[in-house]
Amino acid sequence: MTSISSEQTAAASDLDAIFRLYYQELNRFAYRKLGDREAAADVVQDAFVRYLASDFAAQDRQAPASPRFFLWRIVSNLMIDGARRDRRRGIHATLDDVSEHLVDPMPMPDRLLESREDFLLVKRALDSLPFKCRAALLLNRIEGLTHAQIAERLEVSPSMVSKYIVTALRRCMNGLSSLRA
Amino acid sequence: MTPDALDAPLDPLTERALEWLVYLHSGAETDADWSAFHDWKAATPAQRQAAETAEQLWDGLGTALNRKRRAKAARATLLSLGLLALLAGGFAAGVFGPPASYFPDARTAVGERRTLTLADGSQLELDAATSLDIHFTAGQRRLTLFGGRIFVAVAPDPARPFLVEAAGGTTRALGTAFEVSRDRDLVDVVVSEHAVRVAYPDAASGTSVEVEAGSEVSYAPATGLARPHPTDLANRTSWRRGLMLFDSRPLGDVVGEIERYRRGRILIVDGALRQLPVSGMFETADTDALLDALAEALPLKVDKLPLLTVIRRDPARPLEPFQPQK
Repeated sequence: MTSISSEQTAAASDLDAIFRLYYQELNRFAYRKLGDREAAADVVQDAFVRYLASDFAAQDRQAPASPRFFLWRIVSNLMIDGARRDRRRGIHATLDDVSEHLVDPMPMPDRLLESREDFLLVKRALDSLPFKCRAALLLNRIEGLTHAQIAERLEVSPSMVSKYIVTALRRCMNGLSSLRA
Repeated sequence: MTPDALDAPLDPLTERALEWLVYLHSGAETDADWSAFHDWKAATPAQRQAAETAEQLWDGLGTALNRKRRAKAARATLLSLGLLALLAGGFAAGVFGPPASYFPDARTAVGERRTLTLADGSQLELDAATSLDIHFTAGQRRLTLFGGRIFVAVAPDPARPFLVEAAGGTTRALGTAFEVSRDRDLVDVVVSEHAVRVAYPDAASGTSVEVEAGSEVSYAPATGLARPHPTDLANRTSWRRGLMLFDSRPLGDVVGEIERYRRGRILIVDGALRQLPVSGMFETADTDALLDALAEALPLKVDKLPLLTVIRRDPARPLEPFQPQK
C-alpha cells in the first residue's frame, strides 16, 4: 500500500551516489578553468542545484540524458556564460538565477524537439535508420551501454558503433533542418 | 526526404559537435575529454552554438527513441488499478477491521509528527518522514515500517501478539513500550519499558534476541543482528518531545536526523566533514537555527537553497572539533 517512501529513499540515494561520483571531477575541472576555489565550488554547487531542480521538475520525462552529461554541460555553460557576465554580480546573481529556475518547472528549457513537428521529424529520421544504426543509438543513449559493449552485441568494431551513432544523429539533424530551411 | 538527403554532411561545426558528443558517451571518455570539449565550446561563439544544438538533440532524443518506458507506465497504471481493486476487496472482506479503527495512510511528512491511537488502544507516535502499514487481525497485530521512526506503547492483549516488521526483521512486544526506526535497510530498536524480542533475518531461522528496557539493538544486511547494548533513553527518545539531542554524534548522522525535519536534501561536500563530532540540543521545528549553529561552531559553510542545503568546508577555519552550546 505505502510504496512512496521507499521510492523517495531510492531517489535520495541516487542523488547521493551521483554527488559522490561527479563532485570531485567537476570541482577539479572548474578549479582548473577558474583558478579560484570559491568560484569553482559555487559553479559546481549551482550545477547540482539545477540538476536537482530538473529532476524534481521533470520526473516523468522520458529517458533523461546521463547525469554526467547534464552536470558537465551545466558547469561548462555556466563558466562560458559567466566569463561574459559582469563579475560583480557574483554568487548572489547565481543564487537568484537558481531560485527562478526552481520556480520555473522547466529549468534550462531545450528548444529543440519541443514542438510536435520537431518530434515527428526526428521520429521519422529514426525510423528511416538501418537496424544496426538504430540499435546502436538506442543501446547507447537509452540503455547506457558503452561502444565496446554494443560492438560485441552487433558484431562490429567499436569505431563502427561510433559511425552508426553519428549517422543516426546526422539524420535527425538533417530531418530537423528540412523544416527550418 | 530521401535517405541521401538525410545523410548529407552537416556544416562542419555541427558535425564536429556531434562527434564530440558521441565520443563523450562512448565509455572510453575521461574527464580530460569533457574538459577538452569545454575548451572547444568556449573557443568561439559559433562552436558554442553548434555544441548547444548537438546537446539539445542528444538531450531531447530520449522521448523520440523511448517506446518501452511508455509501455511500462501503462503497466504501472494497470497495476495500481489492480491494487485498488484488491483494497476494495479487502474492505469488503473486513480484513482491515471496521473502517473506524482503520488508519489507511499512517504517514507523516517531513517535519510532521503525529500520535495515533490504534484500534486496540495502543499508542503509536510517528516521527517525521515516517510511513507504515497497519494490519490487525483476530490473531495478531502487525505494523510494517517502511521508513522513519515510531514509538509504540502497546496495549496488553495476550491473545494477539504485537509485531513490528521492518526491513526483513521482526520485533515482538513482550508487554512493552519501544521505538523502531528504519533508515533504508538499517533498523534500530530501543526499548523503554519491559522487553521485546527481535528476530532477524526472520523468526523461522531462529536468530533472535531479547532486548530489555534501557537497551537498544540494531540489524542490517551487512552486520546481521547486533548484540543489544545499554543506551541513553532520554537522549534516544528526545524526538518525541520535539528535540534533537546530540552527544558527540558525527555530523553525517546529525545531517541524517535533520533531513527528517527539513524539506529538500542536505549534501556534505567533503567526506572528512562527516566525522566532525556535534553536541547540543536543538528543536526539530527549527532546523535553520541548528544549521546556523553548526556553521558557527564548526569549520563549515552552510548554503541554504530551495530544496538543497550544501555543507562545505570553510577554508578559513581549521578542522578541529568544537562543541556548540545552546
